[in-house]
Amino acid sequence: MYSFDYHKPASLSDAAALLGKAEEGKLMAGGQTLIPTLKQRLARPTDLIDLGAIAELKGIKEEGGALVIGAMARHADVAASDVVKRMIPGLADLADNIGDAQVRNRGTIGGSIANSDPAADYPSAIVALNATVHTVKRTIAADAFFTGMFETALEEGEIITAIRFPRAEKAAYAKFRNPASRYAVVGAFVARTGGSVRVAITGAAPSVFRWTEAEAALSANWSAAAIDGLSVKADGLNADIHASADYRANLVKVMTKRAVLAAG
Amino acid sequence: MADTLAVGRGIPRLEAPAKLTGRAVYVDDIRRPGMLHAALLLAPHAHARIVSVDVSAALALPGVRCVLTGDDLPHRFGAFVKDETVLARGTVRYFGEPVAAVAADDLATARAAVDLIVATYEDRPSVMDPDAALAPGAPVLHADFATYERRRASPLPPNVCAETTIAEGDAEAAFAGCDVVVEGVFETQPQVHCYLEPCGAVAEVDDRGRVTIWSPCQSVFRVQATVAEALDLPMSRVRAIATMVGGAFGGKSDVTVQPAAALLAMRTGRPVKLVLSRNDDFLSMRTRHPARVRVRTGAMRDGTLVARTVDLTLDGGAYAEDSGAVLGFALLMARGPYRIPHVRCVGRAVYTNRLRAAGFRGYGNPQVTFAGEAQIDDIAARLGLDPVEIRLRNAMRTGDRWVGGQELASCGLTECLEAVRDAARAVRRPPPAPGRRRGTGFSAIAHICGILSTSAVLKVLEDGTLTLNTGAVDLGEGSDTVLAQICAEALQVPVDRVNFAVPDTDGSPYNWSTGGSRVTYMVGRAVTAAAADVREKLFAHAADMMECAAIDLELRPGGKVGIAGVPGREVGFRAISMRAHWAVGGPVIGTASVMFEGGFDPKRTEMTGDGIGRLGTYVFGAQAAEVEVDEATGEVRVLEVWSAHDVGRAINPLAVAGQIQGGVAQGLGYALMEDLVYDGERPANPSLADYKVPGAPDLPPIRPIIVEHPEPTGPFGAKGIGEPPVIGVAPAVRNAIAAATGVRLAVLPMTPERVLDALSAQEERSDDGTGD
Ligand SMILES: Cc1cc2nc3c(=O)[nH]c(=O)nc-3n(C[C@H](O)[C@H](O)[C@H](O)COP(=O)(O)OP(=O)(O)OC[C@H]3O[C@@H](n4cnc5c(N)ncnc54)[C@H](O)[C@@H]3O)c2cc1C
Repeated sequence: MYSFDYHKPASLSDAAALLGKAEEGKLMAGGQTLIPTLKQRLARPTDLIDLGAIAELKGIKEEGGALVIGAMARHADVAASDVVKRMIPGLADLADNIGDAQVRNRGTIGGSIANSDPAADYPSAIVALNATVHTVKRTIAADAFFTGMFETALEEGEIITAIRFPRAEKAAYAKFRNPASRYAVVGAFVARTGGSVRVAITGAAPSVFRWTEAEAALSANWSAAAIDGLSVKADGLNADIHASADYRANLVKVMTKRAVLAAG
Repeated sequence: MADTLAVGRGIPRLEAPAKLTGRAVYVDDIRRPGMLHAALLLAPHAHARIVSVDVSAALALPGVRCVLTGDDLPHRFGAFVKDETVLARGTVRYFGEPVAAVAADDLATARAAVDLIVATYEDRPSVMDPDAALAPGAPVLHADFATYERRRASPLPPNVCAETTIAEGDAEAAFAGCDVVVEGVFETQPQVHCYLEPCGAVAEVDDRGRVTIWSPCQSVFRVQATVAEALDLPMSRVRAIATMVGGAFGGKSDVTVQPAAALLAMRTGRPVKLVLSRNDDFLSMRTRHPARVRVRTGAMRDGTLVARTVDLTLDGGAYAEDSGAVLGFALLMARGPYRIPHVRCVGRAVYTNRLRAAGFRGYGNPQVTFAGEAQIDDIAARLGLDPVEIRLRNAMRTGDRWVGGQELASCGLTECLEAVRDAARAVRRPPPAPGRRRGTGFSAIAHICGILSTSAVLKVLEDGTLTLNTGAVDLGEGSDTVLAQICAEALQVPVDRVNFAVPDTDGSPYNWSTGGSRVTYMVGRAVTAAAADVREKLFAHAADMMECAAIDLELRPGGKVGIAGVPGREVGFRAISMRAHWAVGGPVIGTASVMFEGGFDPKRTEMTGDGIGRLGTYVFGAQAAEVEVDEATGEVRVLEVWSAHDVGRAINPLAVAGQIQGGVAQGLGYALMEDLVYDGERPANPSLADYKVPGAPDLPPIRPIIVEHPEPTGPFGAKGIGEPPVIGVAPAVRNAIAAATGVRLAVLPMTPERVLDALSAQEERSDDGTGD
């Protein structure tokens, strides 16, 4: 790790000001991705701005019938939240299966989606639940937020403040875990709201994507059997030491079916 | 056993409180006045000529005290082939090979200096597996191989560092008379030792120019000998002291970073600490030998095994290290624990541009046992026999002879097999959920405990308590505790009266190594012999003091010598030792040296190359594993493992159970997930974020079963248990998957994707009508 200046502002405006002044500033949430990156000396920021003391970024609440989760909510907070468990239990379950206990007690929803790791769990929930990402400047629709591998619609220095999830009738997540890190080799989040079904797949491709054939099939027949007739092409899917593209293609189907079963 | 004071009792580890409270001192905890910190530059190529290494910018960085390159360490070392230097000279042979070492005032400066070293390389074609290495015209890793000093100087083909044959009877001819002959090719992967504590050393030079090295290691004596060789020093100028060891498993058997730390200390005149980061440890240390094992086994219709041939190719990586011995031992074990009269086992260890392979818990045995025990199940399936029955029918028994002619003085194999079978079959579970298939698999194993020489010094202190010094390093398996128990039992004193000395080449008597499951058995023998020596000397004093004949004396619990049959007539160790120290005869010190003598019966057995015959006493065990296979993902969930081992006599049943549980855990990692995958020339997963070692949440219930057939030569009948529990796990799991699904896997690790592919292939075959 190279040396840097560390700041812990108490408000969003102070954070923005510090970021503006820094030669190369970096926001820090739980540091779960950022600190390993620094340790491996893959980044060399001059200033770290810790978002941990900013009250505006915290909290989980119901607001106008939607679930609003502050950017600094930790995975363990989401997993344990009564509000989340009542409104979208599948989301609490997703959070409860991220990484290990240490990661869940430090990692945040804002850090996770800002990072846009192709194997992260939350992006599938954001997209399948058609959430909106609130930042200091604007709101960004789920379908517009994740733009590629480790890429998002966020502008330089744009701070995520909260994520707003509309309530779904049925929603669940199923993932096949990487045995070491427990990131998703493939994860499928399915959600049904009114007549509309959304299926978002993470881990399988460079970025989270909607599996539209499954959405159509499930809209017509909300059951795991509806997935049986579909096929997933391996072209363009990720291949790495953890799984080949063919294996991931199979998992897309299997995990989607399991998510539908879990959603009931 | 009610008649014992210390032996047979599951007492907790002597060092447990220190470890649990964080007070135990590991190498990274050591701080010496004026100490410098060191870091290594690792090669970014698997095979390259080093054109130049420019260290000027690194040396110019403030705080940098010394930079070493290969030119500073020209001496080659190696236990079987002297093919390795501390830092690469002229050629790098694996991705991650150390090229330079820096010592600086602090670690950040040392690492920054490493970044400033400009090394230029000329890439060479690499050979990343034995097939490539053995192909005609393949790039040769060690062009000067013929000039290297070797333990056995027979000519070898290019890129081969050892070749061995062990044979008895006439296997080829015997196959002709068999009812069935089954053949298979099995492949195993590089498993990383993954001790919790990465390798490291602290070195310091004293005012007489002698270097002292503190390090986690398996033998302070091997560190001393190898550092002396690598630095071209007399051994008397090198002192090695063991620190607490955070696991080793064979990975700290040879030197790790001690020579580089020592030379940096000698050059700077200051203490130097060199501790590897986890990443550098992954890249520059060792793995288990990847293996390809071709096995043929012939049997009669009733299941009687008649003949077996084994052709083994070990990938030794870039340097020979212990490959010759691993090969020889693997071939000695390749017949399996069965009465098979005709065997021919041949093999070779091959140089490739990978991380050097080394001894790793099991020492070549897990590879051949995976193959051999998988094949026993395949034969049973072919003949329609029960997999435990076929093993029992052929199992070795006390009095049988191993390959090489050694007679088995104790063998509880059949009892181990029956124990795991009965335990596994007694379990009742609700049926598996739809889409999941369940099965139970078995394996039988043999191993040795023994190897070479060791010694012990037992001093009676003035107050009659004891200091036991054996030079044996406890790697975390609990040997300090077990040896103290043996000593306490032998002299009938409470365990807390025995002080266990830290292994130190200055003060400790020679001990070959903590390896080969040998410490309880071999060092235990030295301890009982040293205790007998002490007892004899104590008795001589007591006889004088009580005016009786020594032959009438007996030990009494609590450190007393009494006249047999005369209660109350006794003297304490304290009184005896006071007399010895201050009046008559001088201090009481017991000593003993033991050797497990080698050799084989040449009339019976053919042996070439690094063939090994008598090496130790044989130990036996059996495993059962119950698994559930997910048909949609290929994921294998192990539900429970039973592991029975004949340990002769459990000196400490708690420690034996711990060894079994830890070994099974490591075996499950080997079976299902651990694999250092290469992406071309470089390891793709050199970190714990990508290389999976099973942790507590990943493990099923593991049921140790202790079987005790006392070994006549062992201390209180004991034999070793360090390695055996890891050996039979992979084949038991493989056979369980076969029992559950019918697919017979031949490649480790058995990842979900491999299992799913095999399930799909089986489905296609049965769709074609070609399935069985
Ligand atoms: C061992 C391990 C296992 C893991 N397993 C999983 C898993 O199973 N599933 C999974 O989904 N994830 C997993 N993760 C990721 C983890 O859950 C975190 O979500 C992720 O690392 C982000 O961490 P963080 O919230 O601490 O953000 P940081 O590491 O602090 O920041 C990450 C990035 O986001 C930026 N950032 C942070 N907050 C904001 C904000 N409010 N606005 C704008 N930008 C911001 C930072 O500048 C940085 O670039 C794992 C991580 C580790 C280390």
